Amino acid sequence: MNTALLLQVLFAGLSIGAVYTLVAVGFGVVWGGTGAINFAQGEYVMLGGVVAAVVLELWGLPLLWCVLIAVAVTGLAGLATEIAILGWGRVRSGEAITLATIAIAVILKGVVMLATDRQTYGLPSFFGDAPLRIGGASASTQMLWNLGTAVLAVLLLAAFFRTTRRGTMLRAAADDREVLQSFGVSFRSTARWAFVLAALLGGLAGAGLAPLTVMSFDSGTLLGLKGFAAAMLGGLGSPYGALAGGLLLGVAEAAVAGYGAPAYADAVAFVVLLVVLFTRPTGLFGQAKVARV
Amino acid sequence: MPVVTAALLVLAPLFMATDFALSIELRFCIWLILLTGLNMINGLAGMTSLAQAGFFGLGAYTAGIAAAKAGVPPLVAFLIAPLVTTVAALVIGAMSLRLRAMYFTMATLGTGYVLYLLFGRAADLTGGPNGLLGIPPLSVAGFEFTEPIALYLLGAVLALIGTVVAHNVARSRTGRALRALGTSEPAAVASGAKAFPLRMFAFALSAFFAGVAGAVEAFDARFVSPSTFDFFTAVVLVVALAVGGAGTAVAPLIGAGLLTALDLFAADFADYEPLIMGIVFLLAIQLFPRGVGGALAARMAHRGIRPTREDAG
Repeated sequence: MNTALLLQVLFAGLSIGAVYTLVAVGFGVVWGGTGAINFAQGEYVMLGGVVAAVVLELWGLPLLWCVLIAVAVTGLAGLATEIAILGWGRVRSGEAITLATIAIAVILKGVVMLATDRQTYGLPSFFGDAPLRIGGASASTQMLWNLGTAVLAVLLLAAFFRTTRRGTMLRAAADDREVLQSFGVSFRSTARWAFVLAALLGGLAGAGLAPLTVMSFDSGTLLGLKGFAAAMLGGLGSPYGALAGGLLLGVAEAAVAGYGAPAYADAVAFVVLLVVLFTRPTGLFGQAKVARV
Repeated sequence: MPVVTAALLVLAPLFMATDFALSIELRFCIWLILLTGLNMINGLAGMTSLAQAGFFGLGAYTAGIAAAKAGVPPLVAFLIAPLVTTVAALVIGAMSLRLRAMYFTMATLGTGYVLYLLFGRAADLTGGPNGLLGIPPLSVAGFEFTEPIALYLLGAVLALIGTVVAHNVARSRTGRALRALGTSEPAAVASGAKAFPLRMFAFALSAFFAGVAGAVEAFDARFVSPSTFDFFTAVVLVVALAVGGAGTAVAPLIGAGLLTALDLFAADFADYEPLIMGIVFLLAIQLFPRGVGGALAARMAHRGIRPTREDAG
């Protein structure tokens, strides 16, 4: 048993898995708040990484400031998403919103493509470029930041859902949107919170990903889809499920890349997605509500 | 609707018969076949499939690999393609059509993407990201389909047959049962409609159409590459059908027109294409939540003009 390779795979898997976790949480939040799958989630991640890198390149600000600005900009994009989709008042159903997020994703991608002229970007690791050496394997210190933020985000979100008023409302929305509205909670306000929160998380994920891999206007689609697979694995809407799903998916992917066929690593997420859908659609931590007809 | 389609397909080349025009008209036929098929599952059965681009590719690669690598006679390769895609749809459908609509859509998303990845990564079989070259021309009884006009006629005839089939399915008991299922499932089931077999039929049919389109594509371009069958294409197909009014008879025509226009202008405005497409799509969803076809049908009903059977499907 090659311990060094095993650890290497584990570290790589956890680093990227943490990013998937944040994306997965984003999907869960929008799903709960609006009943829609947010196809723009991946683009929020892309925005986070690209904006942080662009800010660093243009103004040379300290790294953490670049990250903060990137997250804020992405949050604005989330707000803009809600306004663009729900502002007119004609789109309200989950299916229509889902379709509309596809449009938003395409628009975001198109805007960034034009603005960045298809350039690729990277970021230095937040804690410095010296690698960690554990048990013969080396890992980027970025892994610590990513894992830390993912776990923190999950814990905070779970607490937010449980204890605060707004959080309880979001949780109630996931359960039954119509009843919530009959209690006087505006659909748009719930949706706005959902999209902004999802965007902030996505932006954070992207900023954390940029030190690990090259990013460009194109990076969002695949990330979004993989994050979605992680969300389904863990159970859509459950923060702890997102953590489990994200990390499991990350490690599985790294294992395939490390031990066998790097060319097929990307396929892991989709195979996982299909397996989940065919065996337990509600995921590991989802409520076993009947998903079958 | 078949009449309108036939008229279009016959008249267009009479007015525009340059090689370039014919190739554009053939693209229209391919889009039309794809969307007519997609309309079966997305429109008639009401279950959004994101796998149509993947099946399109599966058909194209099957025909291409069979003809170019396995030495299968081109005609046989052409016939195998839709069979393979139908079987694939039956397999995927068997596992996912009992799920709620959203989960089915996600399963088709996964299927489409896995197929796309396979096209690009199974390099020994498919030629990898650079594509599969050297597909021989389709030949039937010695006649080779190399001229643009011959290829166009092939595409047009198949598109017309497809439209007629779709027209008949929509009017048949099966079609009406599917529609009833979409409107009110409990009522339909109580009346004896069996949801699962009906949906399997719609999904398999959509894949069959995609396989045919793929075979045409393979023998037209004589080259297939993964990028033609990516996630963007899958989305674009759903969007085009939605804008046209999924479920209506006219949707595939409108959608195919849109996509052909997009093809034409993409070359000049490649950089702006995603942005423009996204904005158009968003506007379309806002303005026509039921697509152009749906809005038209609703208009007719509103005005007291009894919707003819044409409008209903």
